[in-house]
Amino acid sequence: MTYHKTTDRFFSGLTYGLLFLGALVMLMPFYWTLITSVKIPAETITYPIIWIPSEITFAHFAKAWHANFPIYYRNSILVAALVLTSNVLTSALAGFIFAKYEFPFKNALFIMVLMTMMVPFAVLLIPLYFVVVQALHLKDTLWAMILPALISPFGIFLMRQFIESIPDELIDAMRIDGASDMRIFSQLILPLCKPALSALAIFHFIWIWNDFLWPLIVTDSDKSRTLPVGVVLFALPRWQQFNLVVAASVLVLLPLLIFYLIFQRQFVEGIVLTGLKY
Amino acid sequence: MINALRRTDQPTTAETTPPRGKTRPFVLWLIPILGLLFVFNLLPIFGSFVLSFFQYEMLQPLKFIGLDNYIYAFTKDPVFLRTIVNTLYYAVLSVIAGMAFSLIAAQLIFTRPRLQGFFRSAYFLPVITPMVSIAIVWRFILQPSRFGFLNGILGYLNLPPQPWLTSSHLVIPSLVIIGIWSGLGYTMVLFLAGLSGIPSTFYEAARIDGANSWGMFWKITWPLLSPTVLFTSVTGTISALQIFAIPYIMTRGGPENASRMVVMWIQDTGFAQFRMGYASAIAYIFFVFILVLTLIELRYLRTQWSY
Repeated sequence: MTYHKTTDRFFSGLTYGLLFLGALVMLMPFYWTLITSVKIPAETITYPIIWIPSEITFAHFAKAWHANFPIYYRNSILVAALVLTSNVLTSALAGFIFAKYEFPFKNALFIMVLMTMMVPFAVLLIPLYFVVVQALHLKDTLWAMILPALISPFGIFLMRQFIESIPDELIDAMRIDGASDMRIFSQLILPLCKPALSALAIFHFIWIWNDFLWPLIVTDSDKSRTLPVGVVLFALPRWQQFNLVVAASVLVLLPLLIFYLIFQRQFVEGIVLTGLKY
Repeated sequence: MINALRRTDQPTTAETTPPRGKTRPFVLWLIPILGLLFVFNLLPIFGSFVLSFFQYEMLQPLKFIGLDNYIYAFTKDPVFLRTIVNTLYYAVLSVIAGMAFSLIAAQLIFTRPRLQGFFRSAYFLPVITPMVSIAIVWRFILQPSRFGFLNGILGYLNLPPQPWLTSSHLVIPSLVIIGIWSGLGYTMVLFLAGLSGIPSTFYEAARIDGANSWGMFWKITWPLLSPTVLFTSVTGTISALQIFAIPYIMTRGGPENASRMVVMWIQDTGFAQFRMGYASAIAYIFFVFILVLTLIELRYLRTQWSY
């Protein structure tokens, strides 16, 4: 028994040692980001590394913020809010109809949804540009980013799977009581789908907040740029100003970080539920 | 008449669920939803296919050229072939190494319940970090001189500074390091869910039979995790192949195309050189490439576990 105890302790120590080393590697870039964003330039590019800055300044944040960041924030929030609301409602609605109703061409239409889900975005890129810019004249507007993202084929697929498992009896019971289809949807289906919908919302939020390629192509000026495009164009001519550019990148990260700290449990549960990679 | 017959056949369901064959008006809600999907997703998929047979350079009119774009891509465009090789190299390396590290991390965390929450949060933090922030910060961390952060750390170990992003040999491995760092937490959480789904009685029985940890891992854990491994490797490959933002911001494809990826080349030919027809052809080759790789992966991994 004593033999077991000592080897156990050895392996336990080894495991925790490895786990802490891993955590150190994972968190080190965040620590570096944090100190660089508040360091004075003289202490930034040094060898050996200055781990604890002797002086802390928030001037870089202030300077970055005043370079149009309020507009980027407004644009990012507006796009995310509209897209998320639409994604959640339309995915649940279409998922409900596909799961519980019969209608002509149902299978063909569902296959269409699956097809759009599987095609990589790069394939749509050029024709989508024609639709949004040439046909609808939406270049350099927020609508150019909102419209193509309003419907989520993955969301429809996920919600159909989820709603199929809701027993028909519950729906029938409400129908006997004289509830309309819309009432069944809003008062029965939507509340029951809450876990799946919050997982969907979390992931679409990360995805839309991160989206870079499409906003890069359809925006021309700061009035429509979202945070990712805004910060990159801010950084390009300023790569020499370490502190300023790093502070700007913190401004992009901050909302997601706060969001993550609040909804940490839902994040992890959401991943397991959807298995979704954005 | 037919509906009436059905009703008597299946009294339990037919009473209340809408009878088959009769469409309820509620279904019409699908029209705007699928209409938007058609315009912004399905139409472009076909549009891209059609466009790939044309020469289209924005200002000049469309000109049908058959398969010329495809032939050009494979025979006269060394950059395109280079991007395919780069992208594949990046995807293979980052998926395999990423899965190995995630599985090790998940297994270590799973066997030691204490501080599980802390480790999980720490490893997951990069997953929620925006790509552009990762790219900007790592561009500084990987500065080539001794003043770069990573090279500064190497200095403590008496190792020479490395040209992480400026050497054509090191640039993709550097991107792989970033890919592993940013994706590990995601895959790890999926593996943790997979591990907690394995009944502990399996391990207890094996222990009674005298199995060691190593044997238990390969005989119990690994085969029972196969659905998770299959899922994470397939989705991981698909998303790794579509890498864009990180190399676009960090290296612009350099040095000399060594880190140029397929999606960057599609964006470049389409929106910087305005060769829209050609960019569509590349996009379709890329699509087929992803599809074939996915099928090979599915087939290979399935045969691994079919016993």
